[in-house]
Amino acid sequence: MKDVGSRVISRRSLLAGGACGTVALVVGFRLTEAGGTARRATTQASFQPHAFVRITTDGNVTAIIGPAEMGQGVFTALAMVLADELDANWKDVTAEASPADPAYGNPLFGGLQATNASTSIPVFYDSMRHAAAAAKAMLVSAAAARWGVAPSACRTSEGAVFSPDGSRLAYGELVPDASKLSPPPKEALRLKDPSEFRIIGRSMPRLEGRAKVTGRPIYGLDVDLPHMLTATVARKPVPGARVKSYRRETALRSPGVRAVVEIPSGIAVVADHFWAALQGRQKLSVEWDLSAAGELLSSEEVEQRYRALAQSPGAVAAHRGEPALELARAQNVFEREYVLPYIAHAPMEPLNCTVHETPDGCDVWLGTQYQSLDKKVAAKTLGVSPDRVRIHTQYLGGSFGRRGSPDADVVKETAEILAAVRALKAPIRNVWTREDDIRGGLYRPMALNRLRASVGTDGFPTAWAHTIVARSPCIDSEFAFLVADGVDATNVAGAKDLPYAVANLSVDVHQPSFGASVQWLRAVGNSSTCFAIESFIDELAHQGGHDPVEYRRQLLDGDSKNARLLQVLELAAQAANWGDALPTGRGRGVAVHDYWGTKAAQVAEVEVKGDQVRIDRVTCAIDCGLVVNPDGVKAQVEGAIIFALSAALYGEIALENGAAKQSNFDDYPLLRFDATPQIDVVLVPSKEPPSGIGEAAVPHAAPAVFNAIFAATGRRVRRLPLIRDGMKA
Amino acid sequence: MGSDKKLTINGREHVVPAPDGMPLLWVLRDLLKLRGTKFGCGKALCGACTVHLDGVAVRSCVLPVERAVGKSVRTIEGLGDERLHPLQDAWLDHQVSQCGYCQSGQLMAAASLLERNPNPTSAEIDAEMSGILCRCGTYPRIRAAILSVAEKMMRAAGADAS
Repeated sequence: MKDVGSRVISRRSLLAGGACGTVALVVGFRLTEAGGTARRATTQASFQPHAFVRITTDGNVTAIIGPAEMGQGVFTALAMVLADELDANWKDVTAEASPADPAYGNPLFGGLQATNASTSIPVFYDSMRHAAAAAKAMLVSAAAARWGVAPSACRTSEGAVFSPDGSRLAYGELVPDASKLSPPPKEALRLKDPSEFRIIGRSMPRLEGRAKVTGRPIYGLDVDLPHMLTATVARKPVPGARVKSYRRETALRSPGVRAVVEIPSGIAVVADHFWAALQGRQKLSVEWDLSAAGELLSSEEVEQRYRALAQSPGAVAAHRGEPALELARAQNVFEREYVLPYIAHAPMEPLNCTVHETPDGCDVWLGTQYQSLDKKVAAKTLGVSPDRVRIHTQYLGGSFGRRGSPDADVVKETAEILAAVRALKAPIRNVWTREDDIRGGLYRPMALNRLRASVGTDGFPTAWAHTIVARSPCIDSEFAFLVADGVDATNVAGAKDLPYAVANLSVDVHQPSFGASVQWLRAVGNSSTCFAIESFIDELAHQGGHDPVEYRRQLLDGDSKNARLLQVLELAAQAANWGDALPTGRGRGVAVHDYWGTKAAQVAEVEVKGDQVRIDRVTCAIDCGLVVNPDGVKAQVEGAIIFALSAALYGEIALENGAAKQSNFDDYPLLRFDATPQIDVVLVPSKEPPSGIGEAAVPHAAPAVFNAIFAATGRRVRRLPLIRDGMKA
Repeated sequence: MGSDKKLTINGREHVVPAPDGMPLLWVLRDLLKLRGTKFGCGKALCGACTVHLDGVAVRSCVLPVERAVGKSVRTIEGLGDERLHPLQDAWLDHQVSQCGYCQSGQLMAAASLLERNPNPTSAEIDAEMSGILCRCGTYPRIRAAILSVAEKMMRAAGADAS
């Protein structure tokens, strides 16, 4: 049990101009290992019966959210879940980032506080409702006691309790009494029936929407503390490089530079502000010794080795029937290879972190997907006890996985800089440039998929063998529990659970450790497996003269597990006018995929003139179970498709001598406004438990577009990005 | 360090000790603490740093501060006044923002476009807005928001004329 919740620095205090602003005290409240257990917590002014909710005497309700808000809308969605069950008035509801504490750990990830794999809604939907129901029961008991009636005779609505005779007590008025009560046990709570929902299922605007259109300083990079200095690092070009020489004195003489220090990742220049730090860094003229850096491979060399590995089976992820036997004896066997390059996350807000040591510990401000590791790493690096490290999670200016790195690299580096310049007694803000970000490693794994299928006379597959080669982001991290029998679940997802009816199946994986360092990127390995499978199935359909939608339909039909997948396939095809004739040079392509429980199908429509590809329209039908915030879900689907199109058309980090060739948005382009297609989203109404939405529409876009290009031209592209194939987009 | 520069930002005069060559972006963010204008690339490639210089959208990350002296600078903090700018309202109506980081630049570019051209064609919107990157993929909603404001402006202009 850790007593870290006794001091919460509110976001408002940061906005007011620094850590030394207003401090909201939540006295006597202990967060615990058991996030789901309601705990008693009280002050006269506020009521926090549970780690997830705080109610104040003025009636304000704050949802305290463990997952990071990085644009996916989790603050608003979880606050909606809370507000609905609590019967709060929506206008009284706000959300704030939780501290780093086991109470906010993700049970799917062994309690790590990490925002990953679109799990925030599926994981916290129930626990948020339980927290709200407990708080509501305490408020009702307090009101009932005042009126001398039975709690069961009272009802709640719009932030107030009503007595049988119509008397009303607002939640705020009940806070002092309610905070003296013990929370009821979870078993005693009655959760609403979905028919009683009044907020869940309605489109609600983002709680922080106004801050985001008025330029409020809400991101990590906006943190500003008194006497703060800014650092930027001349980082090693490849892991294992050593400093040979640099011009320390020249950099120190640069205006505004206060210190130049060597740290494990490179040479840090600390200055009055970022521009001064950058000017100093440019004067370092560092020469690097690469002799101890090990193998410095090019992307081509990595790919050749991957191809060689794919010739033999890897660790087994799935096996049924006799795939090898069937492939050996079949008449018609098709073999294809699909390759995805390394890509960088490139969130619009460059990586940054601010660390400040105080007599009682240290404060860390950053946008992060991984608070539990940040805390551990800051503590270890600065030699303080973890319970004295306070993580202040800011809004994330995008992340897509990057701010959840397996070694908390930016926190570690910033703490190392601080430790090296302690004599300056200043908070340190560490800022990466865009070039640092694009060249900094931790890319989406390069992946090579070798697929083989035998096909019967009817054109349908009788055996299917899928060999994947991709480095694992999980091995050697706290997420190693996702690796079982040598198989990283995130590398084979979507492949090992192939939904298509094939009697003989093998899926295996090689996870070599050479090449660039890797990190999950939005939609993890499903981007690779979906591209490979949905391209290959499309090839098999055309090979046998089948319509690609009909072919998939037949392969999905007959298994009740596929009912929801079939439904999204039908809905997408219908909404996209699949089957309507198109003029020459235009084509439609389809892809269907289940992303960790969320089922989606996409149809892309393209026009190809010579080598010029124009994506006109992408239609997506999606079933993510119960929908909390419909417009938020639509926004995630639109954004996921655009994010995926950047990767499909342009995205590539190419290695040369072990380092990225690309450096900024000129050679690492993203999809721009004028190339954006019309996007139509069909949401499937559902009473199933909610599944994730932040990533679920990413995997389909690339195969749908490439299949459409084939339909338009007969040209089959089996490698991302499209521009590598000599096409323009 | 640096000579004092007299800057007019959002109608207010500031005297700031900034060296020649320091980009306006960093003068705004680090010296004047106006942190609504964002750093994204440092090379005028992403447009997150877009501000107005005498009403024209410019990339402040590559604009040396001395070139802003004697001119009027407008940033996201000065786009609305007590009330939001119509584009900010439209951004909320269409729920444009996701992570929100690029939206200062998007809004400043859109405002400059509509001030020059209250009734832009689709191609004119493309030309202005394609300079501003959004990694979250909010482009379709940005287009809808701009069109809704343009439509309102044209209706209002039509009402005035009649």
